[in-house]
Amino acid sequence: MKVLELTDIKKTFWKNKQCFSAVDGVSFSIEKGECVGLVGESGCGKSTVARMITRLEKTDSGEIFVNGENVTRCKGKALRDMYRHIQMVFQNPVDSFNPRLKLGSSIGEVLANFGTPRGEIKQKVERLLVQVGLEPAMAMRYPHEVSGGQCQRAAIARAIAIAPELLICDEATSALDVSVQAQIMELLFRLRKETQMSYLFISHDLALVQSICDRVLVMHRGRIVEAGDTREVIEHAAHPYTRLLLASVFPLHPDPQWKIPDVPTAQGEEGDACRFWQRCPSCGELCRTERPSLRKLNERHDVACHFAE
Amino acid sequence: MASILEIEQLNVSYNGIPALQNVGLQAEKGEILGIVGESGSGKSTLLKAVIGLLGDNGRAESGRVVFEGTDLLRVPAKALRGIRGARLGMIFQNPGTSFNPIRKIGDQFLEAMRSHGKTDRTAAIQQILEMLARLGLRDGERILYSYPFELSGGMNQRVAIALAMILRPQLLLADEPTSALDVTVQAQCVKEMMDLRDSLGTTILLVTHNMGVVSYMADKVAVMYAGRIVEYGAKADVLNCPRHPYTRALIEAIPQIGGGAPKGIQGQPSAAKGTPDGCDFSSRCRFSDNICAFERPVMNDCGQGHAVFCHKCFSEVLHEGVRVNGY
Repeated sequence: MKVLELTDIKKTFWKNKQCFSAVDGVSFSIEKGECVGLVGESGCGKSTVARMITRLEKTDSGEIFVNGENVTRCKGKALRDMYRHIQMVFQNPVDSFNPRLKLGSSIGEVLANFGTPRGEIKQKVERLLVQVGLEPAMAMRYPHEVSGGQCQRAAIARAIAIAPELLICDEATSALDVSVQAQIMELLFRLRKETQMSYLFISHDLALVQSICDRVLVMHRGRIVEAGDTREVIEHAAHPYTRLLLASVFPLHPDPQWKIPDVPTAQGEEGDACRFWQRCPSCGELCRTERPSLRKLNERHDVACHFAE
Repeated sequence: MASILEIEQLNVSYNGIPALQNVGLQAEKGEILGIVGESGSGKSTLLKAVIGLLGDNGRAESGRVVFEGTDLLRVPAKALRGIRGARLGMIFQNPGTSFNPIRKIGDQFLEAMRSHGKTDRTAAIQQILEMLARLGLRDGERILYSYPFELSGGMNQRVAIALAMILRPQLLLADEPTSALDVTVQAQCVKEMMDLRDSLGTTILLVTHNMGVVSYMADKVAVMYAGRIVEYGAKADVLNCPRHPYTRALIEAIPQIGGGAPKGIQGQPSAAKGTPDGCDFSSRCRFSDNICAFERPVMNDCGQGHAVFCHKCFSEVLHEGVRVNGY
């Protein structure tokens, strides 16, 4: 069953009287219990996609389905019901809490809003804190009194408080140290086993995404350019942009032959054609005139490139 | 060869709370020294202590920072102004905030050059354009007449590198120079810093949390924890054959393409506490026992300049399978 399905969603922003297409026709779906990674560089629209799913941003066109129900334009009670299924963890844990509320109150507020009786809230908050690896006493702390890693754990506790089916993690570990990042990843891993929750894991770090996700979507300038099973995409990257991303990660123990890839900078408008052609090493005439659409390479691998095989 | 920079027994504190304890390291001409560690381990404080930017509440309590024969901690403020910028450059983490937002890039370059005696404007501009071109910024003219906010993050950081390098300093302090950048831009900046090192022979102190970048750039690596250097040695020794449990845990926590799930280090990163005894890492260490909790280790020399601040660095248990990833 599909927990989430997006069909051709689009978003344009206006900046200095210029139209800027942030998300340009993105479609994908997430099955129950699946963990999907969304990778791309800053400005590629990955956070906008997350914000549209959670309705923090309006969708210009296209439809969003949660558990088969169209929620693109729902409001009021229907919107509240939608949040029962989808919750989000943000990049900066300290900023995502109300600074004047204790962590316990912030988590309890969610429970109260979704119908937990008053008497049970305190106990439930403590159980949630234990579940994410914190002391129950943390409920009495303010966000600024705890470390970034602890605060992110509390943010995860808040997000899973009402047992959503889909958890969206938008750069949930980028503000943390690697050692703490690994702790949070271990926690997400464990929660997934315990609860069968689906994840949409958004990150700029390809290495991190591939360590947890079943499926990866690579986004470039508002479009998905490659999608498929994680191993397939990492081992047989078909789109030149994915290859560039993979080649730009500095390996810890590099081969003697390993070199930094040469990247030409893109200049000017790209029109409706492939948005990568100016930086693409294997660009042909077709790429400048026609937009490549996502096509199947094989059962588990899609790519949006005229020449990929 | 004489060292360009020699730091001995450096102790720094903020408002009396120790931030650096007995830090010692040295860098030769043209060498890149990578400094890694979690936040709060004192990496940035070390750089700030070298260039004298500790601020009002920071104080270098003792020790020496000898740069080209002068002890920077004891140099009068006026003399320090002559050294900073000209012979000692610095790149900060956030490219957006290392410039004055209300002055054009070109003016900021010229100000730096004028205050170090380069007064010929035409020649100076020529020199700036050359340096920018070298960093892959072809439209240098436009950049000189731009404000920092008009450039992208990657461009700003390249311009910041150019500004730090324009007076050809002997020593460059780079504080997380590529952390705020996208991977493809980061790759370009790293390449450019390497090119500059190769052509100008600049010594670089590179602070970063990206072990991949360290592995590519550095000649020597210092691992810091709680205000101390806990492992120090040639890059190949430290990264391929780490002897401190913390270094090993740090390497295992890094997600790698084609690798498995990263492993977390239990507990919180600890700040420098200056506890009277015991190893600062003992509470998080897989190998710690009684001696670790009660007695502070010393810097043990494991040969070839590889030094480890650990009681167990010679122990058999720790060395079983110590070589990572087939090295």
